[in-house]
Amino acid sequence: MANVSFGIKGASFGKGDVVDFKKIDKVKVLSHLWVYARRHMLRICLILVFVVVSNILALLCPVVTGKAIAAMDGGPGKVDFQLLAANAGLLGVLYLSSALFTWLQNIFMIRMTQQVIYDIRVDVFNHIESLPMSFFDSSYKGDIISRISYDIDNISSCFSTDIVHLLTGVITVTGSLAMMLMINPTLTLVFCIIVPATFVFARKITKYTRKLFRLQQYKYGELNAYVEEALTGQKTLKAYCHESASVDGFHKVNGELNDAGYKAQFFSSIVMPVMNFLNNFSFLMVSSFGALLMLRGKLDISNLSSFILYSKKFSGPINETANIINVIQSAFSASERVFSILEVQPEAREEETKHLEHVKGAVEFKDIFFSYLPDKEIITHFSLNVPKGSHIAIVGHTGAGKTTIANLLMKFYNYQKGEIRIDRKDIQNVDRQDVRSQYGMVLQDTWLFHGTVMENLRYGRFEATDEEVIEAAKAADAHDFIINLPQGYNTVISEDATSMSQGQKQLLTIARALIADPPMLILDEATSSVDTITENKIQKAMDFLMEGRTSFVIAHRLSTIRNADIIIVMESGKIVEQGNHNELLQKQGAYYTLYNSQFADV
Amino acid sequence: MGHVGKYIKPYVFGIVIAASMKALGSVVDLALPYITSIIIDDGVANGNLPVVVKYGIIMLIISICGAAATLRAHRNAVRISQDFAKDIRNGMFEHIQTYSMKELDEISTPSLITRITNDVQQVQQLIMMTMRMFMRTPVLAIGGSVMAFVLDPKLSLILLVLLPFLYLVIQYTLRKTKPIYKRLQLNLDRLTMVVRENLTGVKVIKSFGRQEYEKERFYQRSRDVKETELGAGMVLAVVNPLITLLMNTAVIAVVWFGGIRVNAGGMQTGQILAYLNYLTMILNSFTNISKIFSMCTRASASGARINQVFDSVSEIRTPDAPLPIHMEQAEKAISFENVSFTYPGDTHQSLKDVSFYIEKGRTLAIIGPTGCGKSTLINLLVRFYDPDNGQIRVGGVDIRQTDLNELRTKVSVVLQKTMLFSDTIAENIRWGKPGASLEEIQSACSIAQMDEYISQLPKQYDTQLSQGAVNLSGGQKQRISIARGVVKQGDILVMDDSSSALDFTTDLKLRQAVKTRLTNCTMVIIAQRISTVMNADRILVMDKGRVVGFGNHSQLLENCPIYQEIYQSQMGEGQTVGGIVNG
Repeated sequence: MANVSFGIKGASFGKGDVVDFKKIDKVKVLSHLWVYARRHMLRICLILVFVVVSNILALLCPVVTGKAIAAMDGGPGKVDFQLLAANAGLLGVLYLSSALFTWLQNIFMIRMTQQVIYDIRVDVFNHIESLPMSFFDSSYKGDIISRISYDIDNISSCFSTDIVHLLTGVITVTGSLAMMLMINPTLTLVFCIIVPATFVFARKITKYTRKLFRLQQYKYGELNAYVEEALTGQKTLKAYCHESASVDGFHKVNGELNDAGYKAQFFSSIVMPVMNFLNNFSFLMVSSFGALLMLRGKLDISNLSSFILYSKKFSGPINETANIINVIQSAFSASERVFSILEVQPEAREEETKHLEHVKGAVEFKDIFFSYLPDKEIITHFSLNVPKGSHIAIVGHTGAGKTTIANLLMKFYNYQKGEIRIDRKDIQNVDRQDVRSQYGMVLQDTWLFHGTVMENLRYGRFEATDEEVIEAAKAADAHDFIINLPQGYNTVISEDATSMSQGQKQLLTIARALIADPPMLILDEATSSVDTITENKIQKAMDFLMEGRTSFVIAHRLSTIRNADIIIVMESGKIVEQGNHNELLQKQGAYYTLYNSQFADV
Repeated sequence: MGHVGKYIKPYVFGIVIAASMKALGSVVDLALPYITSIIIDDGVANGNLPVVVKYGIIMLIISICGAAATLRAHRNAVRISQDFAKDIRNGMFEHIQTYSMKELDEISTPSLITRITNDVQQVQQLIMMTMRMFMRTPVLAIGGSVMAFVLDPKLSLILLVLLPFLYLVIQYTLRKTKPIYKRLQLNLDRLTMVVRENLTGVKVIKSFGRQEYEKERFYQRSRDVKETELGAGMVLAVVNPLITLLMNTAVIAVVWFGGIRVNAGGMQTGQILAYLNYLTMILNSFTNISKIFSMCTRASASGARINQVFDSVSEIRTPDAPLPIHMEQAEKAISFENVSFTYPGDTHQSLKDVSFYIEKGRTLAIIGPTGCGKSTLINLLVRFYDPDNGQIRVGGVDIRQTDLNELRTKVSVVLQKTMLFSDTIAENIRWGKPGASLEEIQSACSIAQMDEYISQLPKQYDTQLSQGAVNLSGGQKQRISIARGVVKQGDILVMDDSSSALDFTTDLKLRQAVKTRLTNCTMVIIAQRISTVMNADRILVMDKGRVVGFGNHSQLLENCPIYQEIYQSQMGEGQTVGGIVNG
């Protein structure tokens, strides 16, 4: 079962039909981050002040300690306790304030980080909400989830602790370097001889590992997408004994993640020992060269020893930085993935947005052309005039383009040619949300979110009272089964829940649309999983609801379509017949055949 | 650590090696200052260049060794942590595959996704950092303490006094942060859930114009995540300064009591200086302490969540000695005997004392109002759930005594909710029969009335489907999933309302093809349309979880009120159309 792998195939992922997130460069990532950081300038300044102050205080401590020890210089019996006490007291004050500043710095840093992370998350999510349908059609849910939940989490854990370490490191190194320059510039030059080497090495490694870290985060996304898809389709998977094949597929993705992760982490882990070694090496150079200088009388011992002590201060920050370099780099790759979502073009804003008010519900299609993919036209020459308040039934073979018509009405996709008008207004120029709010749409694929039955129903209209909700549930014939649920209307349900039947879920979505009370209705196979007796009952409620409202119904069942004012029969994206039930039957054309087939014997 | 521990076990040796290598590297760090002092005191101070060179070379060699040891430690750390993560993820995924629907419902998909990726990552990072970073802390802390103790045991009493305070700080942090991190992972689950729902339900959300509401929902979840992170951060923010302060108190104490001892002649200033150096060393080792704490507690919260995944064990398994299903010898293909069932967490029974059967090679149709338990019958038939009472037999064998895979191979189910995967059409159909040839696939598709459409596609059977196959219409998806069921060539083919999105002509052709080409197959058809069920050999009518009718069309028309009602609802209003009466 070698090549059985649903979900992501290494090669095809991110290409072809799937959203190709633009690769964004370092500058772009940083400029995105900057946008968020900029909002916290005051905080950042304060943090910087805290870091500098607490570090200076910490640097002062050894001097005071030295003075305290100097107070003991007299030897036994001659210790100057007054001076000792004074210095010890001063030390106490220094330590206490240093601790206080570190604490403040931590708190500010964490608050800022969490705010930034929150802002990023919210922005990314808001952006996703504004993206066109085609984005959702072609992206892997698991991958997007991975970006919003875990990639951002990654950035967050990097920021909150590691950035401060990095900052402290920079200050220590700069401070020490300044001190060293003051003591002896020549020796500092010697010390810095390896700096270019270190620099080149660090650059090479980070550049090389950046690709690897990118791959690692990408593989995390893949793994996530794989798990999400496998778990969503678990029932099918089990019904087809596909467990072992799906485990094989998982092993493959997981193995690739392991590979990428190992390479990325290993190469970045080389940095620390090598840097450490280089630091030791330069230290050696300094002591040898320093010894030479001393022999020539150009340097005294106390200066040399302080110089050496300062040069030792480099090793701490180098160690730490090198240690967290992998965390920072994976956070950086995570940022790339997160921000690349923001680079996806949102649904185009209408240039001149007109508004629809008091819609009567006259809809007109004028010679519509539409294709999802450039070369495959789904709808051609589609023209239809729908007088206000009329009921339209769309029938036809599967794949004839019925659902596409509904999609176009809702402005889910933009058609390439033609015009759709509502009350004679071209909807091309009308705000998308305005158009959508005119319709109540019920789909064949149900969608319920994790929440109570009541919350799910009220999704149609938040202001609806409990009575109105129950009223609608009764009309949709859902009330009886709802009150039989463990907590009635307060039972928590979700789309994954297996204990509710598909038909019952459809009843809930119908009730939800009833509550919305929109001027027009689109029902796309809304009752396909509902039995016909129940459907008849709903039909009555619907008839009442649809009285005077324009409605589009896509259905196969006779009962649903027979009473429509206009029935249109579609074939390959075109209207082939149009008229009411009796007219079409008399024609003995496509509708007649379609209609009679339901009674034909096998 | 339970199950997580089991996955760490094979690597214990490697971890020990890595940790000791890292410790060795840290020891080099400790040794270098000593050599430095020799170079300065003996070499530089005396202007003795040979000493400088000699110890310089020694130092170089030692630092090369140190670098090598550290490198080795890092390599191990990376390899082990990566492999551990891979192993445990594989283990988790394999285990999840043995879950029945009950366990899946309990933990929920979004949470499982978080556990298998993010939670594993937390533990993995801890393991790696233990080897790479944290070993430095105990080595430096303990090494420093031992040296301080050797230098002056009396002054070291100060360190002893300090210990309980340190312990308290650590204890406090762990106790405070652990529940917070537990909550953090939970909040990540919820965040994931909202994102996933938004990706799945985008059409509904857009059509109701509920973007703002969804944003609000998401804000709430992100705020929860933010608040928990802040909670943990606030606790950890205190740790570092507090421990530093504690250590520095020791420094002041050492200076003060040292002064007293110097005054008494018991100590020299140089010793105090050396003692203070060791204290500084211990202090320096603590710089990462808050990171260690956050990683440890978060990883332990995650570890518990991972263990929970392994601890959930499904009761639906293949028994130790499974009985084979011999369909050829059986008389009845399927029989339900007094089956009752309640969904986990539900209060009312979904099936009540259900009994029926169908002979081999015949067709059984199931019909009944929404929510009457039709799909539940299928859920039980392929053991997504086990019944509370009664028995289900396939080919005469109790399905609880058969091999799960054999059962699911013999019974081919086309589920009500179409589920296609992001792969080519051919591969999706091949799910039914791994390794099926193109001819077999084409034949299955021609039965499912899908062959013609697919052959028009530019890439035909190699056309790539996106997740959820959004590029196909509802009816096309259903037909591909029917083809997937047909290609399986099971003894029993179950179609759970799986042609609801097909138009009548296609549906008719489909049924005709099934009837003429799958002659030996026992069929179970769940449907809403009378026309679909009326020609079945037996029709089962369900209502509110009970069997209310079992017979053929004409029998039921006579004696089953619900069947009559359904019939009327579709043929009603006195309408008669040609071909209807001869059923």
